[in-house]
Amino acid sequence: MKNWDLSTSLKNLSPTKRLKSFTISKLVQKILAYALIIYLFVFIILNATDSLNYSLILEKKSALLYALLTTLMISLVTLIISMIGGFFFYLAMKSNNTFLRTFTLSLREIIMGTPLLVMIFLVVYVFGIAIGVSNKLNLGILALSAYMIPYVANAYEGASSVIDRDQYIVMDLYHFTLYQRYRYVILPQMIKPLIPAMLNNLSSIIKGSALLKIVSISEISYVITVISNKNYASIEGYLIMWIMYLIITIPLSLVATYLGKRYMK
Amino acid sequence: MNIDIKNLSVFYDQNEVIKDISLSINDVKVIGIIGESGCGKSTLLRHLSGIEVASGGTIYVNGREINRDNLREYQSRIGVVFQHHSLFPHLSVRENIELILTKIKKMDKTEAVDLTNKLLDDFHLREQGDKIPSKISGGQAQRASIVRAIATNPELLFLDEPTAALDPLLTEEVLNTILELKRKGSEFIFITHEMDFLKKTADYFIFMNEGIVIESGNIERLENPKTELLKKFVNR
Repeated sequence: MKNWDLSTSLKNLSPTKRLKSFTISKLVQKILAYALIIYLFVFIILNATDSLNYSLILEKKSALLYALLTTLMISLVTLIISMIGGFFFYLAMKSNNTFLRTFTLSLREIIMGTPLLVMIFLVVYVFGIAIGVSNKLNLGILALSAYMIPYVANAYEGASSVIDRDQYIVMDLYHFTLYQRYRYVILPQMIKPLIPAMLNNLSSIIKGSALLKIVSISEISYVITVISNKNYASIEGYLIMWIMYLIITIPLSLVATYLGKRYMK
Repeated sequence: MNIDIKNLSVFYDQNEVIKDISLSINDVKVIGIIGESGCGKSTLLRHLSGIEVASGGTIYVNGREINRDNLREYQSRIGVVFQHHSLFPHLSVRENIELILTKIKKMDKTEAVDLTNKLLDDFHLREQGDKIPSKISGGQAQRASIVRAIATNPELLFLDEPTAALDPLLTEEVLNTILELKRKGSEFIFITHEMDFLKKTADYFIFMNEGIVIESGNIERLENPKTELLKKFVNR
């Protein structure tokens, strides 16, 4: 009796047919994976409570839109501040000056080991009071920026690794100034690998901004919490909050992945 | 050129890579440094070009000592070519040359463009001028880096085995470019493994082994080596 199995039958196919069969198999696997994700999503939505009532929250459209715009504004401003601050932090991390290097590297370890919630508390209620600033929105952005700066500095450090040692020797030989090094050689080469990293950082900032609700800033998380608490619909509130964040972060993540793949070529 | 090296010693960690070298070379135009891999050739070249400054010993090039105080001035008068082309990869060949001329040497833009065009023509790289290094062959890229190094009209050029990373076919075109430099009267010091090329190009050779200069002298002396080590090296 002939001993038949799938691998033997695939081996017997022509290369073109084998490739076609392989492509179909991959496609089926992808469809199954997406189906499982959708199933889990629907499962969570349907099993959250017995009687879900989203209308109580969704009817506050203008408040939700304002919260969405506030979150985006906070995130973009934080990204800009942390990109500028992160660049100087990165320069200090790489500096030949021992004080600067030790200070920034130690600070990086401390900040990266600090929960964002604690950072927001420290900046708003300790630092803010100490310097006499009470605007919580500004302090919230400052807290998020301070938290993100070491991560952004790490992204600069990773991006700078695309520049090989010989290029630095050539710049040394011709005595490029610090400005000339970054303006003409280093930054133009860092931009490509930096774009996906910065989009991922933006995604982290958007998610992190949800914690600003502890200082009553009217971003998505705070506004939804207020509305849902008033209507006794906290579960629905969290589900809507979840979807709102996903609507922003998933496209960002997809763009980052696409750009990452494109620039890796 | 005149080179005067006195008691040069170089340590990397605890390893003595250059061992108390003293050498005096006068009135030569082209010096070739030879020796097995790891004998200290590149280290010597890096010290002669001021990429590294030794803590032990002194080096005089054309009567002036190379030290940390005058390094900037010295390096403004030399050019260096590495084993790999070391062009800035995001800039075209033309931009690589013009960047050095306009931003670093503060040359007028029109003058820099004219000089770049002339150099690209002289070294048969005009067609590659607007391409970035990854879009041209390794030999063309190395030739372009030689052109960039001579664009500033250095009084002395250093070439650290510029064909090391190239296959034999591409090696030929780079060697021809270096020969072209000799014909144009440039003064340079180079490292090579190609004995025929060394004999054709250099006026003077330095043969090193394990951080020591075993033999050095006018290129004709290679026909009758005094030491067994050089004899073996030449007849490999």
